[in-house]
Amino acid sequence: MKTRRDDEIRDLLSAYLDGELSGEELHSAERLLAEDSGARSALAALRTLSESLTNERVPELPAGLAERISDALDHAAVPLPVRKRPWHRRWQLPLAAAATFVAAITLGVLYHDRLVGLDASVVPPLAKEAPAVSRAAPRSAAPAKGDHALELGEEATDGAALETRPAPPPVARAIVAEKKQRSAPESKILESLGGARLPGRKQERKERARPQMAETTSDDLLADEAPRFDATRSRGPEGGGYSAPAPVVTSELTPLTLTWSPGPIAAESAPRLKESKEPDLERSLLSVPGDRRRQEQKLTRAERRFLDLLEAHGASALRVDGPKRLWKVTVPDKQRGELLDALRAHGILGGPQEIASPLLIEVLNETPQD
Amino acid sequence: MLARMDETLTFSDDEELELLERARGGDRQAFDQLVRASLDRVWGVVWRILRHKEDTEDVVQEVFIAAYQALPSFRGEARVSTWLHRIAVTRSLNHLDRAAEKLRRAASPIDAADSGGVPEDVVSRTRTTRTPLEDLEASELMRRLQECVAALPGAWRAALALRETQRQSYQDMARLLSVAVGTVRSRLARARDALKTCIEGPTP
Repeated sequence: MKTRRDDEIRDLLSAYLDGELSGEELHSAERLLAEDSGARSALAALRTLSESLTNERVPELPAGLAERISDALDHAAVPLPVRKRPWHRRWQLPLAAAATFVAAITLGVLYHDRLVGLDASVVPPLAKEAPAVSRAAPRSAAPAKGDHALELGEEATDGAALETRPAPPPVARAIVAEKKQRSAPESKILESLGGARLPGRKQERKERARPQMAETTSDDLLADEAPRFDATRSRGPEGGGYSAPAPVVTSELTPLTLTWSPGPIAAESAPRLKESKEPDLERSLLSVPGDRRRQEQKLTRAERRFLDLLEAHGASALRVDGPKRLWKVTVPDKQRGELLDALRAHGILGGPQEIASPLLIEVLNETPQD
Repeated sequence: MLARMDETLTFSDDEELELLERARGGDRQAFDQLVRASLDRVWGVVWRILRHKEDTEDVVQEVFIAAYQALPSFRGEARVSTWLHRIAVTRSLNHLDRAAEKLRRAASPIDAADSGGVPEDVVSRTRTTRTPLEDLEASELMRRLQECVAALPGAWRAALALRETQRQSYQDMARLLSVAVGTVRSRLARARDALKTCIEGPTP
């Protein structure tokens, strides 16, 4: 019977053969090969195998295949021509970034003295030397520009309680206002998708610190991971359920969530998996290659087109079990922009609504082309 | 740059980019030339995963149609060949999955590829084949190799095809297959181990 050590040696020798080892692992492999004749023999066998696979004869191209492909292309749907966005659309983002930068610099210059704290040149000597007197100073005295002593702890002339919570400086207030403004559409979209609330940063930190919950919540739909089969839960006719697994997303893959307009999802069309010893194999089965055809009969034309585009961009997708047609998509960073463009070009995206990470996009249910 | 349809073409990077631009602008002839330039390699990748000539032909056609339809969104950041590879691998795996599903529905409730271990038919073959791999005649080795590769799960065959014939790095393979690098490494090692055991039989 094979032990875990056998599996490690198997993986090590295979990666050594491919020249994919470095550092400590490379030294381990070299040590092993120097000391163990069995390992040397195993490596020799792997090499023979590898060479045989490389030299394996592939059947020749059937005659006329190129013509048949050309004929098939004649009958295929014509791709939409590439349209360049008008100049003002192309420059929208860079211009906005530049304007923000300039505004930040301007604000920085205007409020520099307030931001850096109490500066000797602008703080009245009285405030520095005797804060108690300053707190008792009359409110009716209009605060001079940059007069931090008055803003940060001024007392009313009638002797009312001290203002213990200082008002934020203008810059801080502006940032707070901007945050509020920015989060409004996010909440709207999320609410329209089933009442899910976008967590604040504080809540996000809490969520991260909290252990993974077994129950699938609306937050799970926005989580980085595809749900994994959990045989202990019972839902639907198959008795299967999904729970959030430990993250396995690699650094070069960024998940994005695509949402479909609401529509009924048949319980039997939800991905079903057996438990597997190889979580990533499981994951790949859930993704487009493994999952799509199994469910194809249940897909709308727009969904099929959507999956074709994902496929062409090396993205994988998982339709999340639930009342809405939610798709979790994992796409390589480099392909992300292209994919979004493609979805827009085919009328699958209702428009850019890139508001958070993971990206949340509303996808139209049926495209005009269909 | 006129060429016969059955002629295999090769292009420099610049020529390929130019053809791509023309194809993106709606020039079908330009796309046909790209097809001919990459047909051989796409055919090889798909065949190594499917191991069935007629199916390979169907899937190769699918690959080029999918590429043609996705052309407007391809910005040319990757090489055309890399892009086509990605489509070819995905389409091939889709095809295998479809076939496996048909088989599962028609005959057996057991899905070998989902079991996580070496498929049962690979294991059963190992019980009758005990000749060490190195001692096999080249032709016999090839015959057994083809049988044993055909019995591997599609995801493992895809990994072997990309590594052994395309010489892709683990990093590139991981990106292409949308899995972690560790998974690529594990799949390759398990696929090779299963093949070795299948061809030469289990260690006594």
